[in-house]
Amino acid sequence: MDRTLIDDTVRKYLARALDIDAASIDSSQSMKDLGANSLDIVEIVSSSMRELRIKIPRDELKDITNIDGLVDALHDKALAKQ
Amino acid sequence: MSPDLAGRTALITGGTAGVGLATGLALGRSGARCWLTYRWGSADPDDVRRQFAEVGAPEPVLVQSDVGSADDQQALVEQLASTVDRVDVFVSNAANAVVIRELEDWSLRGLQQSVRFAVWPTVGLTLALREALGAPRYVVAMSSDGPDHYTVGYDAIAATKAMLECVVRYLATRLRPEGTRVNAIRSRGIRTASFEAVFGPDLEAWSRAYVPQRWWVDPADVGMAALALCSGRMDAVNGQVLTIDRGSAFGDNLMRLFDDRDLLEGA
Repeated sequence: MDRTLIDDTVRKYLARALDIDAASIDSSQSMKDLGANSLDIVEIVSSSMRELRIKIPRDELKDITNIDGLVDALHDKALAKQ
Repeated sequence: MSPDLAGRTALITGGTAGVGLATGLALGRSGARCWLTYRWGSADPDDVRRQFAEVGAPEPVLVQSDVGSADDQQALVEQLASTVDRVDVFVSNAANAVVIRELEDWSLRGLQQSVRFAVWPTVGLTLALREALGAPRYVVAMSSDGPDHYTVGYDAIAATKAMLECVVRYLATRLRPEGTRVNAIRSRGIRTASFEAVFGPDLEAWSRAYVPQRWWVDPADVGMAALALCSGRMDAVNGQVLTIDRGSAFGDNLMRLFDDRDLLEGA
């Protein structure tokens, strides 16, 4: 699975949750930096995983610090699934 | 003697882990066919089915359904309506709300989201089931003692639990003419994955110095209480909030810490 597809998916759900422009999102920031609360973060991660058909245990997500980190984690999981 | 729920259908949201799973196992052990909802990626279906088989319960139906999604809830009710004649028991367990770490985490949007994910599913699914299949005979909503006791990060969650308990009383009154019993179970201190997600990884280990192990509520304690409420033997209980805490709330104070000092690790 292409990393760009994963990045686009995460941006889509971030933009939808926070009512911001997907293209303007700086992926070196954390979701909290962009104004996401804990419920937003659960929703964004869960919706992205669901659309991409990727599963990552909650434990493996807790050390992720920014959006790039989330996209990388999803990408690694997608590659491992292939 | 265990109640006989053979031939009954039970819907448990968030039914593949923690309190939801324990409740499903308790109802399933008594013969109910359980429909268990779960969020994408949160369940191991084979392991859940194995646990039901081990207790001699009918094989559960697992449905991926996000409690905050109106589309998912509609699809769930449509699937139920095309398969069963009635949902006898609805256990509203899945919920989510904003964790408040500091004052600035409060927002109107976050509170509204919390209500949508933690209160509305009890009302929305009860109404949707009633319209499609008739009102369930029993509705049980999972609450906690957060509204009455300070709990770390729990501000918004506690607010939704207080609202949920109020909603339960009014739903019970509205649905009484249809023979439906609506109650809430209020528990505390259950060590599940959700517990760690809200309170972090350190609380449970730290608390060993202050809380005797016997005071922790087990998910099965809550499951058995839910079974009792849905067994037909507690039908005079309606619109109530049942506390399941092994008696710990009364003694959650300095005097009890002194009293238990010989039992506590490192105290």
